[in-house]
Amino acid sequence: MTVIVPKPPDHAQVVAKDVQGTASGALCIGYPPLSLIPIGLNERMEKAYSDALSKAPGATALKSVTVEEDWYWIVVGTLRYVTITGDAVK
Amino acid sequence: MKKGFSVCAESLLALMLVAVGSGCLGTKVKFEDIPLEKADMTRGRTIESSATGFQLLCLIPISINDRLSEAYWRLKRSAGSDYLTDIQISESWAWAYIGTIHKTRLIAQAYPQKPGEGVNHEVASGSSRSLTEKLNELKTLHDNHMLSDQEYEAARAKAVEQYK
Repeated sequence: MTVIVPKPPDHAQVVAKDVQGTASGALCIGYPPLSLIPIGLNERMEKAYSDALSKAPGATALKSVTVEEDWYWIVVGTLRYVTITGDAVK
Repeated sequence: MKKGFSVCAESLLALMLVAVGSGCLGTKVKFEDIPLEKADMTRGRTIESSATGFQLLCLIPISINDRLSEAYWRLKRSAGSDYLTDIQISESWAWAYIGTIHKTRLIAQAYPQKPGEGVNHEVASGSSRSLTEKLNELKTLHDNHMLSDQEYEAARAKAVEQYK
């Protein structure tokens, strides 16, 4: 489980507004054909959240969080692209 | 014969190139912040919701793109008039012979309003705010590109209809 909307700290102070984090993962068709290989797929939410936080040094959490996931077909499978946006607070 | 094969291969290649570039945009979900001054943080309860989608042949999405918004809507429905925070998400997938099943699960803490603060009608009914407030909120979302023109018009029409 990845926390995407944590309980805000008391007297939260906004460090940066609208910071954005992204991460992607792929689900590829493997060999033999009736198998699937996840590449970075299962941890994409956590990575996107960390990516957003890393863009605001000193921040401990995000508030006003928005999450979006898009996907693309890449011949050998699908690519899923997660974007998390929010205000970084400490 | 050779020419026919070439045309067929070119068509297939063109089709694949179009498919590679195409994809689907998921529904953008905005999670509401908890108003700490209004919530009774001593009486939290854990609630949970989930939504599932199916991707036929790893390509055709069936309830895939809106499963997060669906899960969040169910979570809010479970919360009733309570406020949500500590929202956790997990994504799982499973192979189902003709495609893949994708499941989004949300777990959150729901806190009731402090005594004397009244009922959180906004969440409970979604219709007690004035129409102007609701329309302003929709306009802000639209201006911030969080709602497409089509979604904005549909939501606006629905709001106006509710307040009639």
